[in-house]
Amino acid sequence: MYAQRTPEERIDRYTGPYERWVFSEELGRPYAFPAIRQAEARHMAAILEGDGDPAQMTGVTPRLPPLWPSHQAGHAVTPFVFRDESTATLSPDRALAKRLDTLARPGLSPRVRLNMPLSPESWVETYAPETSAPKWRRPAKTPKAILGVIDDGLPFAHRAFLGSDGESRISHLWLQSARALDRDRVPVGREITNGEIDILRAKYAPDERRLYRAIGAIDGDMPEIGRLLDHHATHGGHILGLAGGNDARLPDLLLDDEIQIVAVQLPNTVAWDTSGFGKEMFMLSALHYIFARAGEIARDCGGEGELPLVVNFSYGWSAGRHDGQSEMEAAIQQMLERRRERQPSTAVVMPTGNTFESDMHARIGPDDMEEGVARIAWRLQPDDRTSSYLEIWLPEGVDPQGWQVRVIPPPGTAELSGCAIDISADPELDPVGDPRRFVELEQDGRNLGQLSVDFHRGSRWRAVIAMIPTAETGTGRRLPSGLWTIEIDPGTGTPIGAEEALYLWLQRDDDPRALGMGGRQSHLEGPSGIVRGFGCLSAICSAPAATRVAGLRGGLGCPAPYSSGGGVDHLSDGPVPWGAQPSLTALSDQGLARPGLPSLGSVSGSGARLVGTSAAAALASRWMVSNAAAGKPLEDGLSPLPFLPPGDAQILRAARLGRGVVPVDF
Amino acid sequence: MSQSGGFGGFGGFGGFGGFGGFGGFGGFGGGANFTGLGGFLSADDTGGYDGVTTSGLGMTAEALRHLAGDAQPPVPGELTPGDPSNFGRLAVWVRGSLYVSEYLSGIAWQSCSSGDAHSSVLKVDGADWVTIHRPSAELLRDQTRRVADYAALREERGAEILSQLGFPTAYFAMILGLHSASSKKSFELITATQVAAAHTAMIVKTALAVRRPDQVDGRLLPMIPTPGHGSFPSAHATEAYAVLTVLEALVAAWGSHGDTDSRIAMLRGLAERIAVNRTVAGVHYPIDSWAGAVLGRAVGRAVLGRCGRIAEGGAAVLDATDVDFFDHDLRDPTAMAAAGLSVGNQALRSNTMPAFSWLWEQAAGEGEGS
Repeated sequence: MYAQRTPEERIDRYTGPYERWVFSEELGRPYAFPAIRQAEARHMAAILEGDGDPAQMTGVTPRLPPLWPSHQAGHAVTPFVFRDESTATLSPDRALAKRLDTLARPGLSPRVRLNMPLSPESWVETYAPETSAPKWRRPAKTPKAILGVIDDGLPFAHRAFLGSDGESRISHLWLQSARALDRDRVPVGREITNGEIDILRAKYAPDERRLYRAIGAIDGDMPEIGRLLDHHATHGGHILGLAGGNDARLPDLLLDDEIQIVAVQLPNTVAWDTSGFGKEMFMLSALHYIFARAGEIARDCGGEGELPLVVNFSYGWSAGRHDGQSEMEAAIQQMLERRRERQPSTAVVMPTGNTFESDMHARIGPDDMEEGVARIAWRLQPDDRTSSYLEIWLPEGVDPQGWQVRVIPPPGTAELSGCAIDISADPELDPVGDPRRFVELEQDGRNLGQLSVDFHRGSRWRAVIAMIPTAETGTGRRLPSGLWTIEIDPGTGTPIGAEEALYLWLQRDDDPRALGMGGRQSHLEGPSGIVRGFGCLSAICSAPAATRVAGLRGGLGCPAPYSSGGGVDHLSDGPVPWGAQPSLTALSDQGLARPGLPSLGSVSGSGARLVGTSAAAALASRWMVSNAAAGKPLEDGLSPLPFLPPGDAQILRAARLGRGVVPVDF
Repeated sequence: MSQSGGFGGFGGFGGFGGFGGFGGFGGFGGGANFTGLGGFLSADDTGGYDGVTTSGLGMTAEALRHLAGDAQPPVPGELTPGDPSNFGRLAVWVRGSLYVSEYLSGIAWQSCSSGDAHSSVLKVDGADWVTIHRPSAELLRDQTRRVADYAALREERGAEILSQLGFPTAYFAMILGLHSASSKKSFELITATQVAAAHTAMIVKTALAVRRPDQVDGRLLPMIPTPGHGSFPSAHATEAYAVLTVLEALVAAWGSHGDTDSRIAMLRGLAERIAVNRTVAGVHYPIDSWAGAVLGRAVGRAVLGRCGRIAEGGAAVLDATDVDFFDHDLRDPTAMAAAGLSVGNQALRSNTMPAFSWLWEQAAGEGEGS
């Protein structure tokens, strides 16, 4: 039973459905990732939208990471971290609610999204963002372009990232979860610059693993950085190699010394948990950091203005608005627009995703409804040890008065309460942030799930259904596995228009082996054509200015089967594209018999293959930054797709492959 | 985003069948390598002929013997007693017995207890070489956390772990380019060292009686059967570091590699990896590797002394602390101190013996290109 909280201890007055779910012990906290489950949440990462100012929080020490172009520039979304200075012993959701309460001063209604707790050891005691980097070395050749990479386990001492002079091409690196020094230019973790990498290589080479241990890039006592670089290969090593390495395993398109690299290593949990919650502060501050350091490099190398910049961000999750208006997308769009005013050759390159065949997306139009009610089945797998999430998005502008969302359990389930939620604001929740409502799904007083609705970012109604695991996890709570039915009923309200539709997405729930969480992916089942791969793009890549890269299967010239597609309505009846579409495509499988692309392992001389659109995005980034360094437009030389007459086939192909093919092969 | 495929699975590792019977193996370096007597077990032992051949030989003897006439047999030319050339006439397993005898002739051990504190002292030719203190129960508990951390590497280290259940000779051989045709005595020296190390480790393990990690924390679920002996010190680490110590000297004696330093660096990396792989598998604490490495280096030096080589080192004392294990730290005074390892200044050397000395001369002549 969800216990009543006093008003100032109600986290749901200030935050969204995911935060309420994962920070509340009676709800989803027992099943959250270890980083979220930790007993103390005194050091937190968060984001704030619009006119909010983290400095107004009382009882905490707030910090802004390096922001581009400046702290004062006014940001669509502001990432920040804070340390709670109180000594009160409250459950995490209550303690966080008390802190957020101080943000909600009269007249202010900022939306705040809590992210993940930070390790206290990663908190820098003296944060000195305005100082210069003591060990940074001006590159021998004046840089012509900057490559940014945001990923996990980055093998920055690998020989593939040395210039022709034997010095590191990695100009700046931010390990967001490393053990902190007493003083640093980043608020948490640790910054490492090229001069320091050169010193480390001189001291420890060729034993790279020892180097990583010495600098804290391998640290078994810091779980968010951990022993990842002890592994034979990491996602980040593979991607950094494809995007910015020179090595026998990599394409012949060599990256010149004039391309400098700025990289950010995310916390392990952020990189591995793709369920779509609590990552924005780390991702967004990484993007700001790369933009800021790119400016620093240009300035310190005597240049005027900004250098061309290509940021590879091979990451994403699956459920979200998909209309470019999510927090991440709005922030990416604002940053790209601002920087392109100063330097047109600026890009953020992201993969389309790998869920085309995963049955994680559905479109339900008026014709698909039965007597006006939308019904779809949600298959929740047995032996799933993590929470499962379904997001339902109503068209923008719909008045949901009278609408209801209902869940119907598999046959044979004992009676449940809280199976329905009205799509309307709960007047008991103060109007801080978005209007919202919560209902707990319970059996005999024990929580099985959370139904929520919120007017997301004040512009579009969404329902989120969060479910506990189906496996026995020792909490005395278990969700019946099987085929659940979801009903979306306009009831007495206004139905959607003939050309409108309800869109559903499931969050990723697979099992990052390194965390051993035991997730099992649920999927949607419905009448033919409702559940589809078209429209399953990553939920953070829809900013109009972002570069979305799909995966191509080599030899055949067709999309990689998993490569997520753009949205298309009327699939079999005069298709009409909606929303963001892939920008371009790059190789992601070398062929039927050679899935994936080769790239670097963790230490010099080792290699690995990676299958997925992540690799395609990295290959595209390599090509774009090479173009920039050669003084050409970023997408110069894009290979056109074979001719197809305008029509249905062309629309469907564009939704998988975009405008053309990146002309880089192995 | 790598939902489809990730890094390409390794496919499941097949289950362990029972180990097949111990037939005699010819030569070294090929086939399986079991612990205990290792490649010495039955090596060069022809056993009996099969029944048909035995019967045929008898018939042939009766048919041919008359052709040699009835004269007295000749007086034989005598072998020279004590001459080293006799060693070359022996079956390998017989030499194996001699090596074990020579090595153990000066090995003794002593258990010391004082209240709850226990330690074991390894003596070589009468001198205290290695003193290892028994770790506390709290230290074992603390170390299980590190064992749990290493489990994340099980999938990618699986092939190494399974093929290193016995003596991992093939891994050393690959770094040095050893071949069964041209490096027979080098393999024999490796095996003699491994056998000496294994016996020594078992003595100390038994004296100190330390539970395995999975007997402390059930969540560790090792990926291989927990062996039937104590955890501390690790016999794999003892053997690996004994072999490393001997091979470092052998490679120097060869002087024939153009890249000796690189190969030594890889040998050290290999010794560390063999030791750490046992932690990954879930059957050893990192401190077991520390104790094994300290013990193994002593065994290697004792073997080299038996070979007539000068391999002096000070007496080592290990009072382990809750640290991880890295090869580099064995040579770093700060890290050694942090790990509870101290090494004395007085140089110790074991006595020279004939069979080992003969073996060394043979192996030293097998250098690449020499």
